[in-house]
Amino acid sequence: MSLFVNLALRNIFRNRGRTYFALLSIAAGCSALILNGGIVFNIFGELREDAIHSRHGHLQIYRRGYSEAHLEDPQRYLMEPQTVQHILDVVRANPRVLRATSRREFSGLIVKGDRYIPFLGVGVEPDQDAEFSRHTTLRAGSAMSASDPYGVMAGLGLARKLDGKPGDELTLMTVTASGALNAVHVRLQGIFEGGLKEYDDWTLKVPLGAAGHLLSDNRIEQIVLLVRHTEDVPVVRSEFESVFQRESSDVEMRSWDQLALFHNQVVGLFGRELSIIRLIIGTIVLLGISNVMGMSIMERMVELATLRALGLRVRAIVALLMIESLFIGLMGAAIGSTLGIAVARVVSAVGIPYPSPPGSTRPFLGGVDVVPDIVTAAFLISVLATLAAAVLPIRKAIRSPIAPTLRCG
Amino acid sequence: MTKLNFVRDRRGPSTLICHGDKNAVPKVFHSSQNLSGHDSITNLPRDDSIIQLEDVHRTFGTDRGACPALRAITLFIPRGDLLAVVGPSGSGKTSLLNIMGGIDKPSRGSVRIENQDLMIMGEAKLSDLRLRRIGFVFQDARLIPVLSVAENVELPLLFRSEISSAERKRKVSQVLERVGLADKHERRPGTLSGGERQRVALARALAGEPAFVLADEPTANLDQETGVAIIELMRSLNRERGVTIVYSTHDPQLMAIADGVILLRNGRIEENMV
Repeated sequence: MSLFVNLALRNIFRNRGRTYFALLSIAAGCSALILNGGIVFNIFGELREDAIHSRHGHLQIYRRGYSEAHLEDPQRYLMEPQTVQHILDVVRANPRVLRATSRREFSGLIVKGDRYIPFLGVGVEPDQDAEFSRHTTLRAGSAMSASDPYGVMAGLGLARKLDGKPGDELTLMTVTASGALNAVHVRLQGIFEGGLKEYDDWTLKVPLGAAGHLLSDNRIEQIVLLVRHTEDVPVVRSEFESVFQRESSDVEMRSWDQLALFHNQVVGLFGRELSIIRLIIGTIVLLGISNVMGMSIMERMVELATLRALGLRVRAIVALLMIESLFIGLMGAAIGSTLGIAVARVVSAVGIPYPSPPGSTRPFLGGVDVVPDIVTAAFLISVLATLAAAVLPIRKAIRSPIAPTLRCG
Repeated sequence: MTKLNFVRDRRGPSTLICHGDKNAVPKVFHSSQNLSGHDSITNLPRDDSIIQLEDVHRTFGTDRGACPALRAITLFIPRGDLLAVVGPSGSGKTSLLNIMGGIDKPSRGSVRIENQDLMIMGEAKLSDLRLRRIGFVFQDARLIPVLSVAENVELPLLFRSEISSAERKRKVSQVLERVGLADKHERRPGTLSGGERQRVALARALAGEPAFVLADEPTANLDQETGVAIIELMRSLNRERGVTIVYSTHDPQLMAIADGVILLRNGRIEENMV
């Protein structure tokens, strides 16, 4: 059937101007889909990495039941230091794990002079925190260090409420598990901006040692992990779940996508928007080329009727025209993909300055990600739109009676 | 040059006999009542006719109402003849050939090709019949401009699964050589003269070894000399291969080459032209 395919290919370039126009339309649509998808994906990626590297890590491990009920009875779901150490040993032995740290969340009051400001404390390991806060911007002072067990960091909003600056002496007050009021003196080491206003307005990072001292309790609430590649999270989680099940450990896990509610809402919203944009661009491509495809078929009605008179079946005519459309679609999509990827690379090299996204406090410099799934989807949408554009003219061509059509020639 | 002879048929009431060969037995096709009577013009029993049309009517709808293109046509075309369909413009020549070729259906009447009733055939079966048993030559050749001469001839054969690729190539070479285009396999139709294009069309029609070939005014766009050459070629192919060929023409000189003539006027087979 190579002659048949050859005929389809040669037909494509019978009217070069029109074919180039069709290819341009398809390529423009395809590259628009790739760029739009790449921009949205880049924003998603920025939000994802922000959620992972500012707040949640990739995976968190808690005592079983924590996710459901820790708000009602936080003390019940704390883990003993030896349990924590064992878990840390297990997870750090996995080559996919980049880092693991332990945390404890609590609440209390900050006293600075005559100001009493409530805060949400996060007890962290100072020497691990920098890696877990890669997307956190240090706005003033310096990061926490293991050499300063009472150096704390306040979120930007909280620091403003305190009118605090690096070097300020603060007193942290809280109620211990036994109901006693306790306090420690700390020093404001630095001021950070995590990007999420709610988080920055309330959060105070405290070295775990100081937190244990304040709470009179060195138990741990959660173990947080960073894996080397975000896409490995499901595998790593599954591996640890197997290990902990084998050991009958009383723990449960949550991954970043279960914790990052803001990220999930944005992805849900923009994901829907992306689908609508795909539909719109697909429709534009379809409408743009349907005229061209129609003209290409209509002006060959006599020729097609001749082929039918010679004995070619309707399905052979349909196949011929569909192969032509498929070739045009494939060529247009290939050009569009190449163009889209090239433009994405250039734009990413330059960067797109974005204002702060909703709920965030920081503008950021984005780019256009080249995502294989998006490129594939754009390619397929372009090809399918081209095939769809040919359906009506083909239908007309095969339905027109042979004899009157031949007479028109 | 073939000498054209017009003689009155003494057997029928009013029929034109036209033949170009004084030694050949002239055949005459005329009105239906003659054909259905004892005086069978074709001298063939109906079952042996390759094309059988009985009481065929074809009417087209126009803005001014129904326009009859063919009226009460009854014809039995004998196998192996070269026949000319003649008549003025609008007399129904193309409509008649279209119905014979199964690319149009009559409004009324019966059409049988090799004893197969076209009236009850679906589109797929009709396509198959055209592909295997009928060759077409159109007025302006209607070749595919993007295909070479050889590819144009080969194209209909592609869809005949019983013909292997090697056999296809052999048939194409053979038929192109026969029509005098052996050295033009790779040429595109646009680079050929009108006569050469019609030779390619004839080769395309004959390559599949059809039972009969229908040629609708194949010489209309050619000069007299080239037109005669094409009909002469059809004549010799008809004799060599025994293939029935029916062609339509306006040209009296081209009628003379045929074994017989079908005269049409106003959609009827003319009863008396002389």
